[in-house]
Amino acid sequence: MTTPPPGDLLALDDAAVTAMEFEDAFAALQDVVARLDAGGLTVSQSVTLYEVGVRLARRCNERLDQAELRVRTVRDGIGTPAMDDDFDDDE
Amino acid sequence: MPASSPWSVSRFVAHVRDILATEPDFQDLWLEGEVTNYTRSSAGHQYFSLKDSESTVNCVLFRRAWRSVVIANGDQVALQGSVDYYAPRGQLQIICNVVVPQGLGELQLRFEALRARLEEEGLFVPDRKRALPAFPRRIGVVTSPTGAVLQDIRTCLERRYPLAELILAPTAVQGPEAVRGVLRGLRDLQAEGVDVIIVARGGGSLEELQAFNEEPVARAIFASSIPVISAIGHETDVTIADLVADLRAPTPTAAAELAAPDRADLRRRTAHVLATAEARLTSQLRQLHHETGRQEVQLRQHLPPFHDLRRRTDDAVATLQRQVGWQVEGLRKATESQSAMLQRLDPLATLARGYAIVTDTTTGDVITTTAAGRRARTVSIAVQDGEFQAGGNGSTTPSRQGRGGRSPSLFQGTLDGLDPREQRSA
Repeated sequence: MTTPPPGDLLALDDAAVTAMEFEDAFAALQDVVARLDAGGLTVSQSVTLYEVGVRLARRCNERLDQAELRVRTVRDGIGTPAMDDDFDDDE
Repeated sequence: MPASSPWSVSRFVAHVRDILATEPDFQDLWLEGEVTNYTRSSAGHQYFSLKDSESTVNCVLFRRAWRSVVIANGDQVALQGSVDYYAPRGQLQIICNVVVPQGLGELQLRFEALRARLEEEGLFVPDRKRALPAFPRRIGVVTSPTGAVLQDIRTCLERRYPLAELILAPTAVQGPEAVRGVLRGLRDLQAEGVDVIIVARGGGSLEELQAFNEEPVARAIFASSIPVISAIGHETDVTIADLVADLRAPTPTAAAELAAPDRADLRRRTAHVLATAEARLTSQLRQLHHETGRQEVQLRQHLPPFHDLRRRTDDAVATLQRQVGWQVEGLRKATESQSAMLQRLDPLATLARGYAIVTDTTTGDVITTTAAGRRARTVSIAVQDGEFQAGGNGSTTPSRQGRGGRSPSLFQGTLDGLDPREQRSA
């Protein structure tokens, strides 16, 4: 895992986090730990970083709780009308 | 015979090999017969003869061909291979790709042959199996749009990982259109750029699963730029597609489970990562606290000793207090002596010793001379316990001892004139 500069993570305010997908929020959360692990932060930076972590974790759970599976059929160039009535796709 | 010179043996053998190599039937030869003269070399190669009631042919199954085959003398087997002439021994032999028990159908033979060939080519090697994405956003599924398989996958993803998008590449999974459909599905899903592809169909006979044992399907899965999970037939049915796929799942539901993480698990992992972050923060703060304490100790070592200063200050204060105390005491004593002196100077005290103070009643002046006494008509005489009046006008005889004296002769007059108003206490 690459360790991003603390600035990137520290800049993650509520709006930025709320716009994140689960995997990005989860990866950022792991980055928070890596950054805290790497050390060299002021107490204030560490505390802010941890707060960002809390925000990211909340976003992760939010996504896991709210998501609904989307289903569709592949866009096939050859045009095979293979759909069955039983299959409701979201396309 | 022509007059030309005779061939060398090697030239003859080379010619025979050329002829054998150009005979199409000999390159993909199928033979059936009984195993005899079976031996196995220390290198793992297996040598035997295949015979029927009239003829025998030498066969070799090299170790790399197919390790799983087990054969013994007397076995009725079918084999697939190519014809070769082994020059050092002058023997015609069959180099086998596959040896299977006799009685398997043609599909099985073809399956085993393709399996042996692709395995030798390296299509099944574990090293080339690709890792699956941890968090697939789009999961492609090549399967029939109808039936339980798609439903199982969909249900599983809805439960475990609804964050993903399921993209179906619908295809027939058996019959003449199946191979083309599967190939098209694989291609279209790669064009979509999905993160992982599931190729699935339910259980069926070898004939029904045949599309997934076809070489083009195997090669398309191998060539896929996206990791492929296979779930073909029942767990006991192994297809070529299963062998080539990056991951084989026993059922369609299992394929969906392998394709995506479980959100319950992700919640736990999220909590764990956050807890780790908290632990790191706590650890840093504890470290700083410890460091601060250490610095404080060092700082104290570099400062003048406070306790000594305090002791010296206390001493100084005590000294000061003592000095002030002495001064106060001195002042107090001085004040006492002053007041004693004052007491001695008090005229009343003098009166107590028997002296009197005579004043001119009219003027109120103290009479200190005989002349003044003569001038006064009446005088007031103050003694220890009061005053009384007496007549004046030279009726007295001045006397040195009379000053302040208490001789009754000093006063001539009546004691009756004593004015009670003037009484005073000593």
